[in-house]
Amino acid sequence: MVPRQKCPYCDGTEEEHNPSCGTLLPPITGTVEITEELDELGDQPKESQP
Amino acid sequence: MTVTYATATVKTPRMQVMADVIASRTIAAATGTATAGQLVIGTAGLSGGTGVLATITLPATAFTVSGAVATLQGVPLSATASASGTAALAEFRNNAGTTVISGLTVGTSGSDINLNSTSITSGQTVSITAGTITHG
Repeated sequence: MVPRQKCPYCDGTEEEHNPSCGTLLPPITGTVEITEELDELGDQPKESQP
Repeated sequence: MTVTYATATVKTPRMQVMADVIASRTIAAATGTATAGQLVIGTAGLSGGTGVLATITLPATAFTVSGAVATLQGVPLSATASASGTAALAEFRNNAGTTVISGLTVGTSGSDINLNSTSITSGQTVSITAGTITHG
């Protein structure tokens, strides 16, 4: 019988650990934050007047 | 960071809204059934199916808009990485896989998408915990 391995990233065993730790790799987490710039909206900077 | 919107599906309608508002016309709600789009995270070579590391399915209504801010719904959103590599670019795509917003940068800070690590391994869980798009 293969002994259970301890998951290095959560407190459970391979069979019991947190489902979010679906593999023995730490999850990648992140956020999306986009702030549009003027040009992205199709606007063009005003040309300087002579 | 500068992202790029698809011309026919985003830029043109936006310009039409602007034109209609100037003309004192009323902007109507969008029609049609909402279907789930995707946030595709990939390598620097992301293009279509090339360079895809993780495809995160979005809720059918991915964003709610308040004021000048669109807020990503359903977070945290997760996917299992389909390939290994270094994340560098991302795209929002519709359910047909057509790119709607491209050129999103991916990094660990100061990018459009900031991850705790850009080194992604196939099988690893990739989660987005929050998201906003703010009108400049």
